[in-house]
Amino acid sequence: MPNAIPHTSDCFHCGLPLPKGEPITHGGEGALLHFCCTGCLAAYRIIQGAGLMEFYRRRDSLTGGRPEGDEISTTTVFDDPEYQKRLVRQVEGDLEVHLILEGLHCVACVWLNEKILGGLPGVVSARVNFSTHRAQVRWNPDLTTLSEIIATIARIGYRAEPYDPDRVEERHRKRDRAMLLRLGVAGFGAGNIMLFSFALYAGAFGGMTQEFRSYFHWVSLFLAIPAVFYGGSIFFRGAWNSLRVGRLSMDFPIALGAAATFSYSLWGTLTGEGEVYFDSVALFVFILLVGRYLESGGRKRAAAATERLLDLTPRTANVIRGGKTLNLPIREVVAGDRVVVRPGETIPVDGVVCEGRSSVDESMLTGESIPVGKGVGEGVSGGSQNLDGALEITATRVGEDAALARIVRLVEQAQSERTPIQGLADRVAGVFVGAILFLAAATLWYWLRVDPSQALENSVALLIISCPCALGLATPAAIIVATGLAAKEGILVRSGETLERLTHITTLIVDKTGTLTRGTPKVTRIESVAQMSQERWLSIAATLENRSEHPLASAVVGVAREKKIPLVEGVKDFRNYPGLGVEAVIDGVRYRVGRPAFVAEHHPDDAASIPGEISQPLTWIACGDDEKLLGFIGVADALKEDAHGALNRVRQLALPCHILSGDRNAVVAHVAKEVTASGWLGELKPEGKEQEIRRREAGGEKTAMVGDGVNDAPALARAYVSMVVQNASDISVAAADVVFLNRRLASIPRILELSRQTMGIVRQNFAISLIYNVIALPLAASGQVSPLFAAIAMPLSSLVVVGNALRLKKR
Amino acid sequence: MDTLYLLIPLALFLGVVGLGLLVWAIKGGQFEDLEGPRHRILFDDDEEMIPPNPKKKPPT
Repeated sequence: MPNAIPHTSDCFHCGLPLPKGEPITHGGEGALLHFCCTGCLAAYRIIQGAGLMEFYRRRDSLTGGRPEGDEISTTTVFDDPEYQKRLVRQVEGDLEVHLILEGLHCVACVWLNEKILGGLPGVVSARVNFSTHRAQVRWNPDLTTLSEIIATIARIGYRAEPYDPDRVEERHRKRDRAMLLRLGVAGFGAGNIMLFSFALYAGAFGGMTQEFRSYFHWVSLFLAIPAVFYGGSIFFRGAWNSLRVGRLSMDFPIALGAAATFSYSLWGTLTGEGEVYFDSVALFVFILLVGRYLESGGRKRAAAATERLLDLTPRTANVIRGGKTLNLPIREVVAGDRVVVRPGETIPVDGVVCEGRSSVDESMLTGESIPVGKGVGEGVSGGSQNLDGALEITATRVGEDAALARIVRLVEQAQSERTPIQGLADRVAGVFVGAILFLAAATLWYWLRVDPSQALENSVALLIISCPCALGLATPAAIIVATGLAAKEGILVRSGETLERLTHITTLIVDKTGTLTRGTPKVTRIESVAQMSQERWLSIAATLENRSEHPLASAVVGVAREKKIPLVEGVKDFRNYPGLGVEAVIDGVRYRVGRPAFVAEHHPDDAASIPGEISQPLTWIACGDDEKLLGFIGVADALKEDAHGALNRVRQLALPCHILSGDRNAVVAHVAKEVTASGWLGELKPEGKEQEIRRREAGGEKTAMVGDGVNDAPALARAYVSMVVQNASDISVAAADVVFLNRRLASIPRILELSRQTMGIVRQNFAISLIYNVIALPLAASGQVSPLFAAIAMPLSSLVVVGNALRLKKR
Repeated sequence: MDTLYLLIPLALFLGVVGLGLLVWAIKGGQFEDLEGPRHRILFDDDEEMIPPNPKKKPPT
């Protein structure tokens, strides 16, 4: 064991650097071991006491779990029968629970957990699944409790929480198992029947007595019954369900084909006349099942991005209640709780930082890989990773309201919603199945008159080879891949229909402030024009602007704070004129701050004195009273770094790009020139933007409006497609079709390209499935295709469609 | 040829036994964690089974 002692400046248990000062040591086997905290020492003692020193040798990294030690008293909430009702199952007098384990790095952790739990008195069995990080623990309730089990796991440095499967997990597992069982039975039947059909084929040429022929047929029948009726049960059930609701589903021709072939072969076996196709029907079922299995795997992979989002939320949170830190399941946390987040942990809930400073990795929400600094007063979202400092946050939104939950809901909604093109596909598929049945009947009728021995085989081949699945999968497969992909990059698409609408866009309209520019303007010049001291009027301006939410206002407040100018007391009769400015009465004088024209409304001559522009056009905020202007504040708002590149790429997509802004014409013109926009309009109020879009829409254009979601609401609502650049934590405001959580302008061309690619794939998929059917159906009807070949071709066509959709991910 | 009447059911019986094992394995969840077991085999759980000082020759 001593050969495993790590560097002495690191903790022996968790591998973190030792704190300064007197180290905590413990006499190990022949050497003095150092620990960073009493928790680690306690964990070491437990492991050593259980004789599991092996753990330190077999783990492959030192980033072991740092135990919570005495810091956290695990609640007994886990033992509450009411709480356990949904989570714990009774098995043969014992109780069984599924736990989610956090902190599993390698198999050594699996080994350690199994050993420690297995050694706990009262625990009957403990099994840890390394793939899913879940543990199945069974215990005797007379000897130990669930909270004791969870506390034990916490003491050795992992975190466990009862996993609430909501029965979803259980259902998934049952379905997967049933699928595998059906595959096994069908494969077994098909494989063995084939042996007999080889014998039968050989016998057909070499001569075989009727006795053995009949014997082989009976054996095949015996094997075919489970293969077809158990293996193919999903097709029969699907067909029966579709009959009951009066709609023709894709399972219907399959079930009909299988049933017809089976009945015909059964008749052949009973009477000893005619052909027997048990091998074909069993193999047909087997291959279809393999196709379904692969297809569901492909779909799972496509939806993996969404699932990964779901997996991000931690299951427990450290909450301070009554002066103690409790490790509570995430559902127990309510808004207003103070939650401790240590470095390296995932932030469990949405909240506001109330203590500490750290950088936070929000890449899972926004796709942005650069960590964001967070200090007191700033909002954090559940699911993001706390990197280097300890944070204490006040929970604001929990559970279903949390940003992550809403994002997941949006993505799932987009993936399940039907696009107009999908509605068409569904209708076509229904008609298609009807047409197939008709064609099969016609084929049967024709061949019965021409060559009765081929009649059944040909019509069955036709039933089998037709593939409405490809038609039905054409759109959803592509949409699922595209929305999942976009979500991973921090672009939320509200519905599949949005992707379709994006491809029809003719004009892109972009808001300036907060969208094209950073939205955090800086004061670059201050000009006093009246006799009043600069400090005094700046103080008044800052006091008024402090009550406004306009981005320019915060620049004025910021400069006052910078110059340490105090705000004025006694503000009366405050009024906000959206898009113009604010006014209020201070010491009996009515002051206005805002656009120069607005401020100078009562003394228009004064407006002429707006200072001239220097190198870069500035936005001027004026401050004045009823009689005269007091001064001007020049504010500049820099373009976002990727504005040029993003708009260039939009231009390459042959989309004209117009800028609409409430800002001064000169400023807008300058920005428009810099990014080479196709056109611009400045000095617009929110309604003005809406009118401009209405005008364009009336002229037959389809507009996509990109805004920052606050002052552009009317314009966004009017536009054909609305896109919003937003913070992850604010998506409650997003009634938009597309939300750019990553706040990157490059997302605009990206989503436009992605939507075009997706619709391209959809069209390709339709073409593939139509061409396939147009070629396959006549071949089958004319007797060129055996049922066996049909059974191979049909699932292949669906796989091609799903595979084609997966191509989106590669680009 | 009559032996086929015995051999084929026998072969099928063996096949059914194999199928039964597969069903048992699926029901037991052996296909759910395809990652862990291959590491699990390396766990030295058999230390108590190893006789003490196997290299030392027994005293004669």
